[in-house]
Amino acid sequence: MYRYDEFDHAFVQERVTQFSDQVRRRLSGELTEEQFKPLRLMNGLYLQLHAYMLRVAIPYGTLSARQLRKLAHIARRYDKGYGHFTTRQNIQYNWPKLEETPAILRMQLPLVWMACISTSASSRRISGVSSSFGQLYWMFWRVVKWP
Amino acid sequence: MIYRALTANRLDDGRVVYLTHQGSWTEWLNEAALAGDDDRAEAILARGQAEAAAARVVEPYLIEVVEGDGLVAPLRYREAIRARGPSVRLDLGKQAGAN
Repeated sequence: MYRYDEFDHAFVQERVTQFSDQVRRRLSGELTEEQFKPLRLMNGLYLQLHAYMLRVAIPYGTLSARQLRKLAHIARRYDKGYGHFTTRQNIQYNWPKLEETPAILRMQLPLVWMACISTSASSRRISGVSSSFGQLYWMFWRVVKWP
Repeated sequence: MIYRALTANRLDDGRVVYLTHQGSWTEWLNEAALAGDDDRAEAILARGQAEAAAARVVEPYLIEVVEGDGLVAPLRYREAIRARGPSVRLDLGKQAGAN
């Protein structure tokens, strides 16, 4: 079962802290929607036809019972009691409130080693990779963080 | 006659809203302010843009609607879906009145 390590956890926490402040500044009007849109997309938050949509990554498409219970809790506490599992190996919540998304990202998902980082199609990600060795090598250098 | 109404998404929860005559926002198209001419349409658009600048709504824009028997209906199908709620799971969207 996939589990991110301490480095990943620290990285996620740093990103969520940044996003929390970005949400605060958006709600106060310090950030315009034009400024905020790429930031929320990098954290998996879309604004769709009817409401916001939060996309949570499910690494390797596998879930433990504990993770599933947490996703159910998030659906009940922050949404309308349901989530949408998609063919992109993620779950999507269709009715979150903007001001509550930092709480989901900071206080709920990390407890079960999950996150929303780069789950938007507009941000850099890899899904269903099938390619030549050369392309894989290039993609490896792009996504690995070096000190 | 074709009127124009102003719609946007509410900033805090992303819900579809419409500008009313009182300058507030409602989730119900039947309560929206209807502009019958260009001057009135520009006025409500300007009001919506001020509301966006005040961080209450996101990306306001005008839509075309028709009115009949006290009901207001959008001309475009996309706006009809936005006004009614999701076209699937009617028990979970605006149609259920459970917002």
